[in-house]
Amino acid sequence: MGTREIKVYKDLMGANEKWAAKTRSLLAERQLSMLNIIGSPGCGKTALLEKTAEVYGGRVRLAVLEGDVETTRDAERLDALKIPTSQLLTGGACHLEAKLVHHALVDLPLEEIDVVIVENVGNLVCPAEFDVGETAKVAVLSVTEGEDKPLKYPLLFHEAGAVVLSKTDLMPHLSFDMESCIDFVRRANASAPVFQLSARSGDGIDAWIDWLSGIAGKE
Amino acid sequence: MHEFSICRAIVDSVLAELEKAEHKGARLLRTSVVAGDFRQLVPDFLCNAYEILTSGTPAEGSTLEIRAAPIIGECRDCGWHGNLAVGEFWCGACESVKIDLVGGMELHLESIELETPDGNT
Repeated sequence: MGTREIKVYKDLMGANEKWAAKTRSLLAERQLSMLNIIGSPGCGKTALLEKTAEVYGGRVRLAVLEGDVETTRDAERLDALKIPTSQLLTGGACHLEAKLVHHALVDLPLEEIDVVIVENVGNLVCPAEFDVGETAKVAVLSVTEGEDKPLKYPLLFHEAGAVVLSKTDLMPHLSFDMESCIDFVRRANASAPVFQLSARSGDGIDAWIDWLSGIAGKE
Repeated sequence: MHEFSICRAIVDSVLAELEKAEHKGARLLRTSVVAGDFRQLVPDFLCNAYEILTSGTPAEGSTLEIRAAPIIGECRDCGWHGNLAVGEFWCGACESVKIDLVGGMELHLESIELETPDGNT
């Protein structure tokens, strides 16, 4: 018996990237933008979408692809705001992949939409690894989680086209160090805009909406 | 636990390779992948997933070898090129944060090692 080594050189993300590229082609063809919102469970992703729809929904037509491990609770919250919403249940998987997002996207009424927002599964690690064909990833970190998270989960913050620091209305009750947090974001990402906002009070939401308008080409 | 998804891509690629006519009858001993240090992969999770996903397939009993690739940056200001620590992306020469990552996100199947019945190497 002998042994033989065979060189293969196969990209292991190739299948996912193929679907992400199909999604990008579709978005370009329809002149749509798509954001991929990523943050831990309970960081305020759905509340940010609700507030965005409330403030921005009259000007730009939004749709949401709602990723969750279980339940349709978040989709029901957004449905109440009359936003076209599709629920993507991963049944245990910790992130969304490009194929699932692509199939959900083509089922949306695309001719009635300007911006698609993908709310990824609550998780700071795995969703950052997978390109779903988005225009930009948005990292959401709530001030209750601690300022050091960009150091602990640098890939997400590196990949992000924008960073939202949410729940700032709670700052008086916390020892969260905003200056250090922004410094920690900068160690992973030199250029992404950082938005400090509260979806509850509406403070800081205007700057976020301005950025979103730029992404959507609706300035 | 995205290791499971990634491992499925590894095993699918390996099984496709083993299906090729020139490899028929050969036993798979080892699968080698390259994973960049900025990929958030836990090698033990990947190896456990590999054992589960190869069970009952022609790849059963083979081992998974993971070779790390360093995070490498290039400075847009001064042209410096060198290794970076995870999440500390500034130039090793001028400390500029205008750094392009040129290494550390690799993820590919590199090679497989087969036991050949005829002793050919």
